Amino acid sequence: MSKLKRLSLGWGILPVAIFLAIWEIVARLDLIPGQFFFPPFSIVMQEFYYLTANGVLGHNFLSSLTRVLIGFCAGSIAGIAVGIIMGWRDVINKALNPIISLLYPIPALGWLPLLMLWLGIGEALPITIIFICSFFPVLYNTVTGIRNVDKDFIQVARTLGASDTKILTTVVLPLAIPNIFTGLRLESGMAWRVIIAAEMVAIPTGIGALLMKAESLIRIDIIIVCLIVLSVMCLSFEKFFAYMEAKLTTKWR
Amino acid sequence: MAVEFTDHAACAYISQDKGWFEEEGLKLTAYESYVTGMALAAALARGDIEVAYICLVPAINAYANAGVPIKIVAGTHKYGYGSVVNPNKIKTVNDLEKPDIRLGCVSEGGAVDVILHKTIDKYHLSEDKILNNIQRMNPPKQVLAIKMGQLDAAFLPEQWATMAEEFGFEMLLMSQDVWPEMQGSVLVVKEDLIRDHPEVVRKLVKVSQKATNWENQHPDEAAEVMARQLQVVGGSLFPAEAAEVAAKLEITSQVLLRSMARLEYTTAIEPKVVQETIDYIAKLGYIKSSFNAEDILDLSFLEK
Repeated sequence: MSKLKRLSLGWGILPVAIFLAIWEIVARLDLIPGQFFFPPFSIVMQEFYYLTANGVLGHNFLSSLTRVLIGFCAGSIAGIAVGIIMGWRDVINKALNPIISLLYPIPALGWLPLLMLWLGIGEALPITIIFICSFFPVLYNTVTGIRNVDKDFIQVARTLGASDTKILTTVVLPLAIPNIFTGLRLESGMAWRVIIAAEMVAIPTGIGALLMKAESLIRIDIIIVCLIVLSVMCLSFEKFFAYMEAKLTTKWR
Repeated sequence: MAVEFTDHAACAYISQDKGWFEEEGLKLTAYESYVTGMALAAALARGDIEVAYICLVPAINAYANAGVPIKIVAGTHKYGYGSVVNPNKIKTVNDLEKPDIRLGCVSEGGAVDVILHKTIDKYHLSEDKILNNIQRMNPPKQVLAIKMGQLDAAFLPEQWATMAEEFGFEMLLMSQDVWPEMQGSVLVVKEDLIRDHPEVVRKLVKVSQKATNWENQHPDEAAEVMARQLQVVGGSLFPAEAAEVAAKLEITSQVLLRSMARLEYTTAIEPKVVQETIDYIAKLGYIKSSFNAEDILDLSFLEK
């Protein structure tokens, strides 16, 4: 690792370390009234270890992760597929755009009461919520990406004798990828935020359900552990897609 | 002072109705009602409350998990929880395991949730099958869900369990079937109240004993008082979460009379039963580790 990279990493970690040190000191010195409402970072980490060792965190985490992966992958694939068709075929875009424009602004969690009645409480519920959460933004970004491709490129390819399919796969989609990835990146983090909220309201397993259980047992340390897991997962998913975006789109940017 | 919005806290509601707190020179600066013991435990932990009539299990949670310095100075009743079911769908306890059965229960850490686990243990039911089917909601919401046909079984505290019978549900198991000698609610006070004002605690226990004796001697009148307190006087007492539901559900004196007959009102409390409760909720993982019941009990006021 170059000296510059190490220095940059150090500067990234330093504020976090200072924040954690202040947290520990403030909690240990009981500077905030009600010590049990503000446990030290070390106690939270101790609970993190305990929850990991006894499998509670792993079990709930896997439940949430599975729902996010299934819902997000299905929503994204559907969003990209429909987005490509809408972006590529003007007539389909004109037909579907009014419906999409009406449905897109509804927050994913707004569907929850309706889906609870339609689907009941079960695995289908959080997966469908994540599907909706991912589908519309990815669709919107895909359509935008495709429709924003410079028409001159398409014209040149057509002049050179490329078929519609060839133009779509070799010209339009590569140029739309940055937009598509922006949608995927943003929604990958959002999927975690939404799943936690859905599990808090209606699902008996997952990190959100563990949060609610901790709330009713007045276990602040477990609540903070869950929030840390949520934060790390949002960040990891977003970073993964940012990395993939950079990797795949550098030459088109 | 805080109480649960159930007939578990009958001695507090009756004392309030009869003016016995004032008679003893106890001037309550606040008298708040909470839908669940967990909500009340959280209020205790925040420091808002000095005296509470609360179910034993959330009181232990508040003490062990949030470090709230409280002491149990008296009991209020034994039992007071039950599982009610749709008799068309559930005939036996084992039917609770069926995948299409929609179960309701309060959040983890409530006394009813502990009864749910005791039921699973006693009847060797599948924890996975039961817990994966549970919808967590507070008692009034469960009763409303029953009324709307959205639940097939519910684990409820009294008076909500008896109210569910009004909608065609039947009592499958009462707490005494599942956990003989189960301690229901208790009177808890902050440790500093005992230290700084022991005479206040003595009076609180005295009023509780008086009200408990009275409700045992006058069950019909006690039910009417409770109906009045929960339904009519409730304007200011109703917790916001319960108000909307309570407006749709009538808590009548007849229902309360049946419900209160299912509880054994007594201020006596067995340290052995409290210890059993502590050990059991530690086994469930609701508190980090078990502790000695004597640490949370101060029965000296009861003995005097």
